[in-house]
Amino acid sequence: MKRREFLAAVSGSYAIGMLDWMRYFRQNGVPGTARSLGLAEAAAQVVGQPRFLIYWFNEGGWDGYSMLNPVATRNDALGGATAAPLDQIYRPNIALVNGLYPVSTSGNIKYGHLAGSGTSLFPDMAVVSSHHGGTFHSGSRLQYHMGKYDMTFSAKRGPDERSVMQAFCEAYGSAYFMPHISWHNWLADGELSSADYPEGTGYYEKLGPAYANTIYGSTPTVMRQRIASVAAASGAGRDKEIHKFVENLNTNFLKDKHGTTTQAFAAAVQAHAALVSGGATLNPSTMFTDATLRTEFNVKTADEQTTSTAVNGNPARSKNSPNTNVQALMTYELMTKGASIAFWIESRDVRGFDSHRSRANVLSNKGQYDQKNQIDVNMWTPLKALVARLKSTQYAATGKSYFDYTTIVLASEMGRSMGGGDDDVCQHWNPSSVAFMGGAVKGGTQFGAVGTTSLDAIPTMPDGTLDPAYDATTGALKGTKSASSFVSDAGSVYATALDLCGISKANQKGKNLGTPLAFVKK
Amino acid sequence: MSPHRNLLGLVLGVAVAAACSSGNPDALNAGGTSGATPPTPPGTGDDGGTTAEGGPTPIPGGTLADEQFPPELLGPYTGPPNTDYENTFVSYLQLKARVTQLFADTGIGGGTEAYFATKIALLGGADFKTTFSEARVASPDFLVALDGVAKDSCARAATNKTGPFAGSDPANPAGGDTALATTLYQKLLLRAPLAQEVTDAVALVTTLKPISPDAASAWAGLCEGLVRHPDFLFTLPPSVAVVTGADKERMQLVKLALDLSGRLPSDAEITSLAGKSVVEKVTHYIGTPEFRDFYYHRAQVRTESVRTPESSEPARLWTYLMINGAPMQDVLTADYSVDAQWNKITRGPEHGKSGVLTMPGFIKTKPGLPHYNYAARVMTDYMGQLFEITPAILAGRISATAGSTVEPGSLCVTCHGILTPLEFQRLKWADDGTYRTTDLTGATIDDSDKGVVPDYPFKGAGMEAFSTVAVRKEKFFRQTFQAQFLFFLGRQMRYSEDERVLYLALWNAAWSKQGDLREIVKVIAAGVPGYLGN
Repeated sequence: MKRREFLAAVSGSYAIGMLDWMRYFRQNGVPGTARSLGLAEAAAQVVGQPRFLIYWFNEGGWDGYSMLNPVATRNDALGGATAAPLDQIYRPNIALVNGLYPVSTSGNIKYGHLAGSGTSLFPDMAVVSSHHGGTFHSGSRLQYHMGKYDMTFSAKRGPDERSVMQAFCEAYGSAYFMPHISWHNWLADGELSSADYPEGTGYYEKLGPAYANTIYGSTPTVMRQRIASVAAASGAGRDKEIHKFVENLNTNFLKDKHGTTTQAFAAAVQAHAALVSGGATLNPSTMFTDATLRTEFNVKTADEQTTSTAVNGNPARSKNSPNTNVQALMTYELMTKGASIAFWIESRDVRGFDSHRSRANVLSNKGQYDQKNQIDVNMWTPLKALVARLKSTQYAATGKSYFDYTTIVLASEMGRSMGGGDDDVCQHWNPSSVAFMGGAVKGGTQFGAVGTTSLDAIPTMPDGTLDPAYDATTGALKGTKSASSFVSDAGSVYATALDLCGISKANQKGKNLGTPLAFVKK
Repeated sequence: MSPHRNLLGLVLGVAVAAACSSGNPDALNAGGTSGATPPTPPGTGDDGGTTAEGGPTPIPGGTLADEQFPPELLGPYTGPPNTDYENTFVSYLQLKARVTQLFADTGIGGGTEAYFATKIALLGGADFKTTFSEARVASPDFLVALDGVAKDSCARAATNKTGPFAGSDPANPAGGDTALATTLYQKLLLRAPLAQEVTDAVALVTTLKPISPDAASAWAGLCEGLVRHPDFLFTLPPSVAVVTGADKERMQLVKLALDLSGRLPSDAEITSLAGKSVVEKVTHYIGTPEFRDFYYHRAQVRTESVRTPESSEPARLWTYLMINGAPMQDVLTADYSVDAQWNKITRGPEHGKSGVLTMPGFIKTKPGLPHYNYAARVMTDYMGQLFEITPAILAGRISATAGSTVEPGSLCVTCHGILTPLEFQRLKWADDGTYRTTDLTGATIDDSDKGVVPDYPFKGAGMEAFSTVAVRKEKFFRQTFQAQFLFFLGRQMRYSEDERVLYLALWNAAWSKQGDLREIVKVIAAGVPGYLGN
């Protein structure tokens, strides 16, 4: 029986549950393969073109003006400023060129010093420099997950809502062991009280079919425990009979019951059943321990731990995540062992990039807080290691690399201001940037810019060119804004990521109103 | 003026971490102040009964409209009935206590305590070292970890003839397989099995015997199945719906013991509490040390403690109020603190009557100006006011200035009409929780509300001006009830819908019992329809 026949046999619906696949595999073996092949490899052969999606999120708000929406300005923190305090502009204290913060160029891409360590990736990267993040941490983070639409964060998420990862996994994840692995914790920063965001509100892990639900990756130790527990409980014989007994108990219990608690239980039971049915082919004891990989990703013991450092006074509720280099290593292994296809990688420290500074501090420091080391450690260094690995690892016998089948999104929930009131001259800021990488991305390209005078994103046309109504350098509006020009936002990113993964806007689940940035696609 | 200049002018507005309203129609509509002393609830009849003349007892409340029970909630609820199945899933601590009690084995996995500690992440517990929040519902991780717990605990019990196998011989069960299956149900699920359940259990063991190393392993398999039984995993065993008599009462006692004391009822409690009323049972558990410890744990999670003495100070006050029956208003108006031995202790006069609001363990995690975290979290945590910045609010804020956030009729004043003056009133408390009277320039700090909002309901200097008025508000009462609801029911009260009658009962109890939280818990346990499966 081929996949198509199988689809027809189980109702002809596209939305086939993990259980259906597992049941089919158990009964009939994997189509076209030896039964002994193992689910991990087999899955890759039955789902058609493989697809992988990685979001790399720098939580807290990066300094976009010094990153991928660069702008050359003076740095009034160096002294001698003539402007009034509220008009002063502060940049990180690096050497100026002709009195201005240096905007560098590599290939077709202009960048600030925060992107300096990433230039080797530029040929594979499409940069969108006309972009608006949010200014409210929790809200903006949620929008990068859910897309943009009229959403009350504290409201119950509806059955038609999806995070970008859930929407992706709903389309491609049904045959995988743990399709959706995320390292984040939406309420971790304590900006909102978890007591007021009960199950089913805010970021909701259980949207879409069970196989698309969020599994929090946590640390290598926890992941190994998870896989070991699954392995210990899966298989034939005794365990299978006990599972059957429990499945019957649960089925009877769930009959005619609904509500948040039972919905969660039902989802957990379904996901658990899928896990214990298919996870035995992974050997947890060897996962994330390979010495070569650990060296490549520069993994130290401390990187594998979670942190709970309070940042900006916010509660030390941890993200329960290891450092990003470990997340990247885990991503590579889970991806190439056929276990998972979607990964939300996020900086480990709560509000790690939320670098508020007072005017006094910045003047004393002769510049804004410099996020260079942070962004290198949290993103560029491990990202380069991951990309190198993905490029050098062939997917099955396709002649193509994992990178060719992968889409990577680099983002942060907001940018940061270059000035402001005395108490805070590094505020939450809309102007930001986003970048895409992967096999479907038109690499070595940059779209949009920030005006040197407006200091805001210059709207782009649907083809990615700047709206001619704006001065391409200063960003000043010279005439009438084009009706079709726009500034990309979290909704655009959501739609673009899925579009790059082969899910056209019309087929994207969820309520996101954003449209794909077609110009970043090959 | 460039957009940059415009944006720079925001100063206060942009850095807010909590800004404008989500559009809640009853948001921030408090009236004027009615004095600076904490409310003294009038001694009206218990639970809103009747007067000596036989007429309805007036509903107690303050003098201002926002200090009274909402009159619109006095009418009957006419919306659709709630049909959700409401039953909380066991937490990490409850599961651990259950396994510890039933298996009476300190050596599971080499050491039961350490064994559970290694699984805390998968089981969704909070150890305040690596994990700080608790899972609220079942997760796949919980279930896969439970597989291991079930396997490891049952294998030892069957082999060693301990716990549920104590007094039994799996290799040759006295009375046959039916008797041992019945025993396992009684010991693990605290009830007799139904006939079909016995049949299914024996069938499982019969199936397992030929594919298990020995009979003990086969019986351990049934034990595993029962540890993964919904009756084991929900705080109210779902079987309460089908059992009767003593078994039903035992199921209900399981619920009360787990919810209140985080453990199963002991054999002695099952005997001594048989036939007692719900209130009597609740009273018993509230008096146990496990209740105090479990409440303290929940309060630590709720107040975001990292289990240091300082960060746990708010949780100690919450717990002190609960176990001593001190007025619930003290959470915001206490002029004292509580030490690690649960003694009331004095604190500096600079705190005034401010309860948790000036505790370093509360302040340190909520930055003040230019952020509005502190004010937003005070209003959210203790007054039930949520703040969310919707796209519409964001769009409106782009041209806002600090001054305009409190201008009457402005978009932002909906939230900042409270947030801004409340932040001013906290100015003498630095973000590190220290008290100061002068700022960095040496100037005296003005911690009044500065009169920036004419109808600000909490006018005056310092946090005491806020707290002593806030505790009179209906929102404070409601939010305090909601906190207890979340602790014990894992959800919020549907106060404006089908649970408005319960809300009134809680309101009346709070006034008639001088804000004694123990009385609130009793009303919840006895008054929430379906809580005990009735």
